[in-house]
Amino acid sequence: MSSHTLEARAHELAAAFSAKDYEKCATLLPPLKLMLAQLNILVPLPSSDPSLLVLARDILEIGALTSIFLRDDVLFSRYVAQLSSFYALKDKLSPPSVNEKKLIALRLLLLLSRNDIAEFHTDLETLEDEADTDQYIRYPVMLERWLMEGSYDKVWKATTQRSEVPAEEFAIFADILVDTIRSEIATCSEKAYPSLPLANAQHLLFFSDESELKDFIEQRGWTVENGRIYFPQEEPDALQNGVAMESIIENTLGYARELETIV
Amino acid sequence: MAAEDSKDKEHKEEKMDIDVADKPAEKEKSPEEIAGLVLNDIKQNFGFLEKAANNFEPRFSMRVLRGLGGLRRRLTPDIIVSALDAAYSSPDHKSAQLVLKYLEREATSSTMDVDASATVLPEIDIYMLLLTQVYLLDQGDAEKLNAFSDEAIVTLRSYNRRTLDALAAKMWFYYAHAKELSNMFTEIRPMLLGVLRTATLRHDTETRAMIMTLLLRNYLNTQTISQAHQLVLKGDFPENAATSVVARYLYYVGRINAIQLNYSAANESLIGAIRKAPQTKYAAGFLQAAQKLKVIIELLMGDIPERSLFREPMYKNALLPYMDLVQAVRIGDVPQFSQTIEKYRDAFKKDGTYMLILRLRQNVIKTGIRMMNLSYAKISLRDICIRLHLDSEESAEYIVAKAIRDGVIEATIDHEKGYMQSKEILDIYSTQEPNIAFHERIKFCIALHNESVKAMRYPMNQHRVELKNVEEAREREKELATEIQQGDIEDDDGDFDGL
Repeated sequence: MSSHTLEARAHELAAAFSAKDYEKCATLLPPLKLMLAQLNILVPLPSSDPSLLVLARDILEIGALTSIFLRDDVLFSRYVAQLSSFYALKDKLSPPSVNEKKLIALRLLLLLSRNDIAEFHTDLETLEDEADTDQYIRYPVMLERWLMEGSYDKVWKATTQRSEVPAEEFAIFADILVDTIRSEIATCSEKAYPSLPLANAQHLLFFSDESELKDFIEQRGWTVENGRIYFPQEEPDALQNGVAMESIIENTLGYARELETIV
Repeated sequence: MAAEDSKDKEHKEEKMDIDVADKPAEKEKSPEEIAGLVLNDIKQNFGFLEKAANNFEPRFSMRVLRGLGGLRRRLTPDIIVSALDAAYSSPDHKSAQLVLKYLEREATSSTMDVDASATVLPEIDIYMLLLTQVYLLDQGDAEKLNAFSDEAIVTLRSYNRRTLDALAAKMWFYYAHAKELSNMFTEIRPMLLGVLRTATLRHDTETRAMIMTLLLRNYLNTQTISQAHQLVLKGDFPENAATSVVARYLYYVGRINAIQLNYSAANESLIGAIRKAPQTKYAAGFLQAAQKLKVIIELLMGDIPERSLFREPMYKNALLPYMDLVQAVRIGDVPQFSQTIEKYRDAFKKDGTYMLILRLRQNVIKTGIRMMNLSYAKISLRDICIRLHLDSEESAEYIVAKAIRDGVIEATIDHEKGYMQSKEILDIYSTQEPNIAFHERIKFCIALHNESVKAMRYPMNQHRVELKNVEEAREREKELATEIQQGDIEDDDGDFDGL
């Protein structure tokens, strides 16, 4: 197994990727990764040959992007994790990667769509300076900020309008994000409005036609009367009281135990 | 009693150190005299180290280390060289050679008794290396310090003595510090991890605590937060380590928790860190950093830090940007908040709090909404939008709805007429709230008690003395009992007589 065959295969892969034949990419990738592993450059070591590492990095990047297009989240996360050790060696690898920021941004977006905010911020902390300046990373950062403060209309605009999305890969997450904000808005509405006219609800929830809204209402278990949606009011029920009693008993027993050890 | 005595002495000594550093009158003393004093101190420390090694009493080595800060400011190469004479019986000793090499001095062998067979106590050996390390650090020559640390560590690792633990931990600290100064973060990780493993296997609490803290610092400095988090989760941090190390560890844990949105856990760690840190001017940097982080975390949790904090002389200047920030959040003023961030951006970035502060924006908006909710029974969404400087009425509606869901305010929205209607304010005493608050306080008191018990010092064999006392007491009791019995009988008899 020489590095020449690797290079030839890598070219084939790059060609398939630029032709947007992602299925073909997916079949080409496993043997390539096997070759990388055999050449011992799947995990970069300080001693590895830089030119080979660049090759390996580019292959893995294509793999990551392919898995995004094929919507394989797990595979994507794995690629990004592998790549992160390449990015850590940044100064030694030239040319620098063109896709690095894009992939990091995509990973952030994936975490956001999964509502894994803690992990999102952990990743974000590593990029302090780029959060405001890089066009790719800015996108998930702004989305998160809007989601957290509740500006759902801005999220809607940013995910659905082509001009707002920085690259085509990002649009793949649009559906998931729209679902997320819809369910967020729905839970907010349940608490915030006593009732809501159907037409307004359709507008609030960003539905284009009424049948979609009907399905959604059914899913959430809301009741409709005279063209208005009535949200189920939750009663301050006895169950909660029971829980409170239990916690009081538990606390008091805890105090008793502690006192026992003191006296 | 013995413990108390020595503690008193320690206090006096510490005070003296500070006096020496502060009083200008001391400067009138000739350098030779000062050198003599310092040399005496060092020699005295040798005595303590010997005691620590012979009696297996870590307290003495801790005491020596505590004096290191005071000693450090007065060290000169001459003092170290003369201390070498006292420490090593032979100038050919490996460590003595090492120290001389890095101080660029020749051995003053004339005064030494040449007795090659005598060996030096490892504690004293390491202490001398440590002094040199500190001296080189103060010279600001990172390269030299680095090279010296590398060699000193080799000597350290050749020993395996539990009485050395405290000194070893300190030496690792300066080693890591040296590497940090030369920006070698990733290079020393395998080394530190290896040492952590050895220390854990040897039940070397001090080194273990120190290395874990150093590793956390290393990870956080290189922004590898997830690894730092894993270390906290998987690593078992020894709770009974030196308090200053625990304080530092807690600070890093607080930082990690804050980044991962675990604000209440972060707050707890930071309170612990601030309380455990020494409250002297030498720890001001640490305390300021911890307070800065704590202010941000309190704001993120929706609390407002106490104003008196910003008036304390130690924090007044350092926390100025944070006070402006708190004011903006407190009144819910979005533009002022943005301005404050703009103005102090570099300061925040330097403190590493910038990303956390950016998260505060939503809190500012929420406070703004809460203020309006409290002041108005009814307010149109348009007005909310104008007051909070939001982009559109639509955004305002979503934001208010989210605030209601998050329990920030008690209100409903009328969508058709476009206003927010505030609900009557709930009587807080009819809820679980007071109960929870009480529980928190009781929990805290109990924890405080338990920690105080743990923190008490139990001198070895002290219980034997007590046992002896108890035995004596019992004997006395027995005597007393027999006497009473006899007395009783006599009394009884007397009573009989009386009847």
